[in-house]
Amino acid sequence: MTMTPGQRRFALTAHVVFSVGWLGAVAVFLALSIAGFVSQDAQMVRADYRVMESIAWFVIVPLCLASVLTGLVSSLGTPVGLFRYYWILIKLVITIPSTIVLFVHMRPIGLVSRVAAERTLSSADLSLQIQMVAAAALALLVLLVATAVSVYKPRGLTRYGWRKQQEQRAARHTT
Amino acid sequence: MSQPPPRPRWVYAFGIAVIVLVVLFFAVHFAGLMPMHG
Repeated sequence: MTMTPGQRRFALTAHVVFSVGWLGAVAVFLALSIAGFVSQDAQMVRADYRVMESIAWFVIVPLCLASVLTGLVSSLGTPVGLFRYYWILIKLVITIPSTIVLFVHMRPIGLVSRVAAERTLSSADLSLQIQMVAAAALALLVLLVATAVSVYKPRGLTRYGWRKQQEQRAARHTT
Repeated sequence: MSQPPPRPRWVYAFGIAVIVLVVLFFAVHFAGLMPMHG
């Protein structure tokens, strides 16, 4: 199904908004995880981890899903397609595992939030706190790469894209 | 019939970066710095 130019612009705008929103939400999550890791104020640390769980469930997860969905609509609804250009394929390779890792990571996020709700965090929780910072930093790096790829759109047709292009050229010559 | 274009070099660079990141990720986990599921 091919979209009209108006629909394409709307889908692309939605994709950019959700994707950049996802990046921003992860940046906030990273800032809070660093604050929770370095702060000496026990109340602040506990509040940090409680807020981080809410941000993850109510901001990061919805923006992630919306970004994936609008990305699929934008590519499949246009002649650009999903598997024809390396830069789009690589964005897919970045986004799908990132989404899976996010859902796997929701468990430790919930765990540290529950610990923060019950008691003050101690040195026994250090590995969880490190995990929060490291995972958020890695997620931010991955999303920055995806954003850069979207802006630069490095050249390169996949073998499938090349074959489709040849078929379209052949079809144009016969008509 | 013409040949398909060669795979761009940046795709290989990206593949190597992904492999390095995955290895780094598991190395950190096995080093015990981060629990796999909290």
